[in-house]
Amino acid sequence: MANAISWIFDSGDLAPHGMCLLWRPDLLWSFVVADSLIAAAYFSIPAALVVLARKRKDLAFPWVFLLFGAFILLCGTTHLTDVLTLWVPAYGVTVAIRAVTAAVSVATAVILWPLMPKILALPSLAQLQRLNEELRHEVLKRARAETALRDLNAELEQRVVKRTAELEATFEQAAVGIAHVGPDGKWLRVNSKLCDIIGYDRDELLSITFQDITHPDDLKTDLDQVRRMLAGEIKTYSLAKRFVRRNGSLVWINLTVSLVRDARGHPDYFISVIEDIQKRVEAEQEVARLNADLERRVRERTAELETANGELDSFAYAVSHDLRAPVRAMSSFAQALEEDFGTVLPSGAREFITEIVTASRRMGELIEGLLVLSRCTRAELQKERFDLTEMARGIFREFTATNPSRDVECQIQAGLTAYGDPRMLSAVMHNLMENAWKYTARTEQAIIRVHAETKDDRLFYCVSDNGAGFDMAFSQKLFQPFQRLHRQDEFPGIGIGLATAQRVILRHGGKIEASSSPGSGATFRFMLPDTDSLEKEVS
Amino acid sequence: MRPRVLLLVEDNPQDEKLTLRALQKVNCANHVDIVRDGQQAIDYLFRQGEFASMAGGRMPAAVLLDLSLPRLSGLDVLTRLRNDPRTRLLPVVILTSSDEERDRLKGYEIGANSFVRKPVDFGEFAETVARLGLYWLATNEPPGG
Repeated sequence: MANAISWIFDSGDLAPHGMCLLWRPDLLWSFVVADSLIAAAYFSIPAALVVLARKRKDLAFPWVFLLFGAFILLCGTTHLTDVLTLWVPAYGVTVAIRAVTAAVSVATAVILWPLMPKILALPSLAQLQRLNEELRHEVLKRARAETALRDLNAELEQRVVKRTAELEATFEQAAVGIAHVGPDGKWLRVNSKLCDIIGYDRDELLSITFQDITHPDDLKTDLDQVRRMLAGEIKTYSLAKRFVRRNGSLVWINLTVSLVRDARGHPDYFISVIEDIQKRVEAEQEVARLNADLERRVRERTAELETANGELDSFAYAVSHDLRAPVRAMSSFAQALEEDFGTVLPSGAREFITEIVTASRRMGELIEGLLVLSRCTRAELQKERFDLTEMARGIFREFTATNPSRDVECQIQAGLTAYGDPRMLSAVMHNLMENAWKYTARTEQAIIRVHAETKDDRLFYCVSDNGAGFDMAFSQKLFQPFQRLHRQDEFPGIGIGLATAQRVILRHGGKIEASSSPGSGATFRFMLPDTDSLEKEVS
Repeated sequence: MRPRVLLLVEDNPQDEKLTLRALQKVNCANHVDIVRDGQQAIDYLFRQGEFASMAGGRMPAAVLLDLSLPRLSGLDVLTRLRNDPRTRLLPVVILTSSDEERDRLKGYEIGANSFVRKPVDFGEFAETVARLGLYWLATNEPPGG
């Protein structure tokens, strides 16, 4: 080592380089200037490189810069030693420095080749600019998207606020009470209508449970339903129950409950809709009370009517049994008197006997008439559809058989049917046709018509004649028992037939009326409610 | 042996007189026994009480039975007769002022042989009663022979 160092610094007998140049000042100083400038430049470049490397921390492969720096610095140094060797033959130093320079140069050259691909892989400035551009573009896009997202968010937020407000308003201003109730029965949220219904402040209500204010008699029903709903057996339920209001009064409400479950399916809260039905319940109770009252009155009235009917019944029975016998006795003994003693009685006495007989016969007829009337009132209606045409024909045949001397034309419409009690309606037809028969007694070419006509959409059965007729001014009296519009010597009768007819028609729920004018005949028409089809449907 | 008779059950003396008068006209008046209420009719037919002495005698050819009677009513009498083997087949004619349908139906239901309404008119009444008398005394063959 010591040898090597001494070798370097031992210039021996060597001559300075200037000697080779024969100390020609032009050459000498050209060397000095050129080499000095080169050295100065070569010293400056590494400094710049070092500064660059230090300032640009992001440089790829910074040690390559340092290597270059070292290589150029050494090159510079060789030029400096070249200046030195012009005067000092320090060729050892020059060689040593050149050797180091050679080593560093070769190393740099060697390292540079394998490094080439890596350096090439580094993006170029254009590439970087392009990437930068793209990046900027991307950033812009991101920014825009962010803005849009923010806008959307804001809008969403606004809509949520609006919707919440709407729901809030719906909840709060609903005409029914609405509440959210915890699974334990605690009021979680209530609207003001509910507070109104139950008479509690919102805060008071939120500190208690629905069980606390449910009428004890209704609690079990409600809780049963709650249990079923929590168990998932039912989705919703509805019931009428009573709440005890804050002031102690009761209020009937209609409750509809549904259950909200959380994401895991566990019961979260109930939505209860509570409707005040107090007025309705009161009205229903009032209706029930009125109905009960009405039923009671109907029962009482029915009982009264049954009593009255019973009395009428016994009266009619008594009449039929007990009044007939004395009448029969009067008439019979008067006739017996005439039979047995007629020959010895003066003619005046026989005349009186005739009066007694006539009077008692009339009395008998009146009793018969009363009984028919009473029977038509009492007997049960046995309704069926029957042939009215055939019935009228039969009645007319009966009349002509008993009065063969009369010449009466009878026009009976074919195909008439009616729905009612045939026996009673036969009595009606008999009475009406008998009247027509009777009041045409003094009419030439007497005509009796039986037909149907439609009036006010209803079917009326008519019996008309061209007989004596009557004055409509008295028509009120027509249907009253024992009221007659003709004198006994004009047309005999007891005045019970039309009363009976009207009774029968009224009992059928129908209507009977008459129209006439004196001398131009009369028409009696009656209507029967056609309940035939209805009853058929029911049965 | 006593000739065949009709038993008239009639509480009204006037009807009784008129009935007898009508029967007289067809010479049947002597063939009529008369009782005046329901209980008497039962006693007569079952030969008991005041009629015990008639035991063993022939039953009447028919009973003319009024319905409205004191004590036992006509329908009660008829019910008793139909429930007793001695009188179960005895011809019974209900002869009454009533023409109530329910009386008529009830009468037939419990075993009346005939139902005749007494006409109010004397002529008709006399004729009806006379026909009845002749029919049940002379025409009809009673179950007991």
